[in-house]
Amino acid sequence: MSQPTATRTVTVANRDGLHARSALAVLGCVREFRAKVELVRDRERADAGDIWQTLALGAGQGVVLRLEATGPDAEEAVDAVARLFAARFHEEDN
Amino acid sequence: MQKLQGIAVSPGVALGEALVMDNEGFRIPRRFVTRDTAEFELERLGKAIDAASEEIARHRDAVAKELGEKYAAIFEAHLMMLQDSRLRSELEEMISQRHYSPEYAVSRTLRRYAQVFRKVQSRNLVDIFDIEKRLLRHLLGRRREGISKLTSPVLVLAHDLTPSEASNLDRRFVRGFVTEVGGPGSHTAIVAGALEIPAVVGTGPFLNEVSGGDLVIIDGDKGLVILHPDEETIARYRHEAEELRSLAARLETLRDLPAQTKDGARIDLLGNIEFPHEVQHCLDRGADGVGLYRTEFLYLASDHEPNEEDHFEAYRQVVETMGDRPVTIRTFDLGADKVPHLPDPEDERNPALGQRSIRLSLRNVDMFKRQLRAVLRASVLGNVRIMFPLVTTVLELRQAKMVLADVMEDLAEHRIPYNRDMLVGIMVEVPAVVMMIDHFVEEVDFLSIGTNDLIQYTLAVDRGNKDVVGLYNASDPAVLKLIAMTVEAAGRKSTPVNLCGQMSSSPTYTMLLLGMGLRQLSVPPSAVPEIKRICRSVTIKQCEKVARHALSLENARDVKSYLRVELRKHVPELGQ
Repeated sequence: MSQPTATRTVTVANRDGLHARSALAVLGCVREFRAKVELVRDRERADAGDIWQTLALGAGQGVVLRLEATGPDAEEAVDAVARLFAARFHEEDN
Repeated sequence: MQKLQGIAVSPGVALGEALVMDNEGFRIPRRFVTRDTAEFELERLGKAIDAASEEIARHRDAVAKELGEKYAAIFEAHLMMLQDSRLRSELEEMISQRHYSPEYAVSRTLRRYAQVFRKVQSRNLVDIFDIEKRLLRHLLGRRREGISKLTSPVLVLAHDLTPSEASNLDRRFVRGFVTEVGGPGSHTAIVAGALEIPAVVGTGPFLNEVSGGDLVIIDGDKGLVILHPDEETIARYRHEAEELRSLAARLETLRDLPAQTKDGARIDLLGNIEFPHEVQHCLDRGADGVGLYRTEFLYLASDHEPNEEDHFEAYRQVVETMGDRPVTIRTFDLGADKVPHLPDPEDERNPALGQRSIRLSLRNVDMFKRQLRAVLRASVLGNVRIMFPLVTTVLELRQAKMVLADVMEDLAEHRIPYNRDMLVGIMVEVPAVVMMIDHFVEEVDFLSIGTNDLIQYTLAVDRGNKDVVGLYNASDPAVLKLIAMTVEAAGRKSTPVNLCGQMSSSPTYTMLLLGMGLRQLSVPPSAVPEIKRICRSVTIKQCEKVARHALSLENARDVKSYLRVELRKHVPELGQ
């Protein structure tokens, strides 16, 4: 029996891209879920729960990433991560 | 293999192990550890990670409390990066399997990450270097060493070298320098010249691509730095280093011959030195004396102000070694920002035009007097002259001479011997002095043209700024005119004029300078044989013709290419 999966496409919208702080926000978000979430950029793949891997994607503003989740709450997990990207990691709030 | 182009500031070729210095001036000490200490080294790594983590957590909490959670997030991210289990196992493997030192493993791994990141985005680099620095600080702890303690030959790679770092180097082991910033005439360049080792500056950023212990080649002739060279390149440079040694050996044969032109004009070829030990280089090359003894190292090499004995000891060594040959000592020539024991200047936005050199000496008369006393005491041991730098007005010169007279009186009172006829001169390095040169020649025993600053002030170019260093040009007709005016005015009063600064050691300018009437040149000791070879290959008549034509040209490029053609014509072996 295979695990439920979910995918979603997101765009890095914040000015500074996926740097230490935003990668941390992603990491904090996926830890709330049991599903394993990966960020895919072209042929590169990063475990969203690993800050070094996420940073190594070097995703600057405007880069399009695919979210791929595997696990019981895969759908909820990609939803939450996608919302975080859409909210620009709450960076530009004041 | 990776090639970097920088500015060549000190000639020669060096191959060797890299010593990488970070911005805080400390270094990664060694690359390998012995097999049986791996356990101990792993423990050290663990402790360093723990200590660094605690430090970051404390920082995070403090920032969160003061500025809010949002601002603390960056430290939380650093903490995550530092405690990452994959990073940890990678480091541990390097130590236990490959026997790297924890310091080397940390630097190597994080720099490799940085390289990956740099290809795509530079924002994260700061974070990585911050983590690297923090870990290294904990690893090195109290053993954190500067570059004054070395045990094997290295090539020093740094962002920039502070004057004190540069002068504190253990010169037995440093074989070359590369700095990311800086221009010709920067302190690194002067120290490299003094040590007679190759140096390249202004390469732009590259330090995150090398680790301590890597094999690096410095080509101080072409201004090239080669990282991770391939076998063929290594072989080629080994061969070149060999060739250079044999050319030096050929020029060596000139040592005991005078610097005399073919038509019999005797040129005084003097040495510029920075450190007392260089006096031996002067003798080895057959220099006629020391034309410029810089004394800045005394102020930079230690954190206390040099006392009279420190000064005296440094002067005595040089003066005694030179015997009857003249030694021209230049007084303090630094800005307050460079001297650790002077209060930081408040308004120094523009140090080149600020409170420095003779200005600072006249403001700190006690410090100035200590130096003058030592020079005067050394004056009975040989042929000593004193020279004031950066003098701008006649009044300033008189003030300096008054302080000197004061010190003489004091010495006489205490019956301490000194030479009351010691020659007193000034550096000509501010255009205002040239404008008023007729007045100056009435009050000095000699002049010494300092071309480095004269060019900088005439052309309004900071020679340490890589963005404008291309505008810094010794061939500029405006510079030539100022030199010609100075030589002419001095000639009317028969005041001796010397020329020091990089211009005097470049073969391109020798014929021009002789043609303009200069009979004294002061050059780094290593340049003595080459310049002597030129003097011995030309006649004054030829040089005068060259000078007349060069002075009629209207731009630097024409001057330079004309001079090169003439050099090739008269001294083919040096004209390349």
